[in-house]
Amino acid sequence: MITQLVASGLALGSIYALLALSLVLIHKATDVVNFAQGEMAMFGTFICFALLTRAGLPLPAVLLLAAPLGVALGVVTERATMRPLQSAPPVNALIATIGLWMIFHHAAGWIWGYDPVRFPSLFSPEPVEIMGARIAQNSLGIIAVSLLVVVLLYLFFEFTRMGVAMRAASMNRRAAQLMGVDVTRTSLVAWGLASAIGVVSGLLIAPLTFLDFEMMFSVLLKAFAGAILGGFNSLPGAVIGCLVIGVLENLIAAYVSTAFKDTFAFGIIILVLMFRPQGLFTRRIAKKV
Amino acid sequence: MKHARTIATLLVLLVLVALPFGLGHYGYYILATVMIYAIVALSLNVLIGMGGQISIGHAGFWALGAYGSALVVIKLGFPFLAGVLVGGLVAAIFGALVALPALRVQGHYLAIATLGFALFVQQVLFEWEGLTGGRQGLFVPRPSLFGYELQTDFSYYYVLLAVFLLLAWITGNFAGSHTGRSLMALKMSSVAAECCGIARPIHIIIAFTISAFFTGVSGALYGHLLGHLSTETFSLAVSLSFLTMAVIGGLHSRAGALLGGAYLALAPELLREFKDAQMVIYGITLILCVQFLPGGLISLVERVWTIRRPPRAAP
Amino acid sequence: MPLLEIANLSLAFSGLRALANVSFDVEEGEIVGLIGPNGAGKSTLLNCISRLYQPDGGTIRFDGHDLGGRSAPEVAAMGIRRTFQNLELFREASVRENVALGLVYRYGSPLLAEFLALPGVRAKQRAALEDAERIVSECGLGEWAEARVAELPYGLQKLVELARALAGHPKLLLLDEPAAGMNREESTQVAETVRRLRDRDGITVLLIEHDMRVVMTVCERIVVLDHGEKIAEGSPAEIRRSPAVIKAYLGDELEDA
Repeated sequence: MITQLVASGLALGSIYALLALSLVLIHKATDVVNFAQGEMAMFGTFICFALLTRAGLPLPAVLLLAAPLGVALGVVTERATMRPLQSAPPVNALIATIGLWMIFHHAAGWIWGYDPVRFPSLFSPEPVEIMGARIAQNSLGIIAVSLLVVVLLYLFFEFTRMGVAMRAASMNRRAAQLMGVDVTRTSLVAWGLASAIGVVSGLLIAPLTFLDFEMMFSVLLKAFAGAILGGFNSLPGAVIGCLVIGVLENLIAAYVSTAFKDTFAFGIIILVLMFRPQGLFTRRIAKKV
Repeated sequence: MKHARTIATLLVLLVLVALPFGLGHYGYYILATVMIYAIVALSLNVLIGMGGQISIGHAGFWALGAYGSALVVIKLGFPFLAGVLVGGLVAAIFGALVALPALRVQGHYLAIATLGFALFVQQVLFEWEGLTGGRQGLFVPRPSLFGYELQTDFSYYYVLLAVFLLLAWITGNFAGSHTGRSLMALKMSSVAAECCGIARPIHIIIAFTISAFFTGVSGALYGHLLGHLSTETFSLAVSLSFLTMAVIGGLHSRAGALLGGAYLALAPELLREFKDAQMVIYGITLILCVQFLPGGLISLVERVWTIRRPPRAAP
Repeated sequence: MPLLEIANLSLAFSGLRALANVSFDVEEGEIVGLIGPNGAGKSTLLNCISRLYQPDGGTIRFDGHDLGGRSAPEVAAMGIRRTFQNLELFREASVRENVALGLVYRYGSPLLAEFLALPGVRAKQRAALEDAERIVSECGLGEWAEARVAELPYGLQKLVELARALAGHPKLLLLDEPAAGMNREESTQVAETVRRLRDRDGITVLLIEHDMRVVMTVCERIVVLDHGEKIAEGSPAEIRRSPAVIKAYLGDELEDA
């Protein structure tokens, strides 16, 4: 029982982790927290669904298209909304992402309706036996896909020119700029990547919860919680934080109460912000005056 | 120049007083909501405009004010105005509590915390059926003054206008006071302000408390206007609309707060044909506003106003 | 008893040593210079005194009181005021408002009275304004009192910062490179101002400065830091002769001073 709970918790957590990765990616590159990240993921998933049902594309083709589609969504959004605010106070960019949230959220309801629809399963629901515990293939599949994304992201940051430049820019933007890193481009790339990863998370969660214009909100809240646990500036920290959140959520639902299954994430956010705002894994760095 | 300002203020007051005449019941209702929203916009002026603190959870304070007032009026028999005051105070207490995490974090962290707070309030109000009626909600009596029930929204509008003007006056006093200016100093440079002897924590707590109080008062007034409360009235969408109207009206001006309130009350009427796309249009206007008109609609008015005056000499 | 006693002060940033066992005193009414090559820890030391940084070890005593555990606003209220190397001004506000913000904390009123703008509150506001006005004109900024600080040239901005620090009627003034970016004439003026503040108002000054001419003419005693350690302390003449200092960095700069 507990093994299954932990396994499905890890699967849930890895979906949160993907969204948290998107949040942290953009935050590291541009100092903006994209409140619309979840809604963009939902919107992208709806587009995939439309390709599947209305355009009649086969599922594998849609899955292949998902990432490029996500990139396009992110790039267009960044150009239209963030670019003009590059030199404005940071709170303006934050407000703009809240505007994006409203746009994507309600546009999805407006275009595709407000009723939840069933999204085809990507993995077989049959459980497999691992070390004496029966674990759903679904959970294993989700964990595998998330792991793949994390590995690809790692390779990008370690071995590509762009990735290294982005790492430099996230550490010291001004210095990176002086060394010829194009900050405008890193922002664009971050938004593209983040949006693509977000769409993957949307595709993973849609079969579990039905595809619905409100489906990403609780995911976003938990991705926030996980990212904050991890310090909001560390990609591995965000992943670990989200896995913790996923497992905790399952255990609380099973042993405590399902009523506050979603609000507990908020409790964690508040506790971390009050007592350890730098997150669990990063050291606090004094502000240079 | 000082005269021009006084004349403009008097003109606005005259218009506000004359506005309901010739309108029907629905018109009174809309005007009443303008005032209720304008009070919230005022509260965001204090929090964001002066304090530099962001909140996307003001629906939470609004709900606390509405339920706080309704409950003491219904269950304890408080008179209407006392109920409104209690609503404001309940919200203010929670405002001070929300400020505690705000002392350690800023910007987007704070936005996340306030967002979570509003969701938490909504859920607790929903689950606590014994007190709040849960799903069924709560019936709230009409407002009454000195024993006379205000039967129409026509008369209620003037009560709301008076409350708005009172709070706007207080906001103005606060903005000119040493505490208010210290708050703005912290926003401009917290390092410099602290080295001038200005303590950050107490000022942030004050900003949140005032802002929550205003919003709580507004929520209380709104409950008595609606006549019925349910937790759906205090959703996330409401928090976001509040932020939108405050930004669009202008975060640094009391007249801007009024414009913001008018925007939020009138936009659904003007955009009725767009039905579901309404919120999309809100979102687009919000983004366009931060991009092209960061001072809000009021800055447009001020720009027109200043064209006729000679520019101030540059140093 | 010295006004400022610094004993065994140490601070490291994520393992990097910024200050190591620094000790020295500043007597009341003294003008002390703090010099050393870039990255020697001078500004870090100032930040420790004004409590923007929390030192890892050691004590700072001011006027007999331990500053450990006090916040930046608290030490400002005790009479320690400062300027910043890279200017920390209220850029959107006027010169007068910048100076006024340096002293408003001394004119506090109850919050409720402020909401209602009661007569007592207005009287205090007027008093604060007059106080600010006086300092603005004393510092020769009267002409620019209404101007937005961000629109002023660099030299005037530095002056505004000094005026704001003086508005707090400090006992100890910490100046972080007051003459940076100034020509010879302007820096001479700065040196004269510092002298006058001490002679007339009895303000004790601890200043960081790279302009050796200013340091050598205005300071009575000099403390030299290098890599976070104090390598020398003494009168300008002694510092000029100190082999350790010359070795650390002073040599070539002294020649062209």
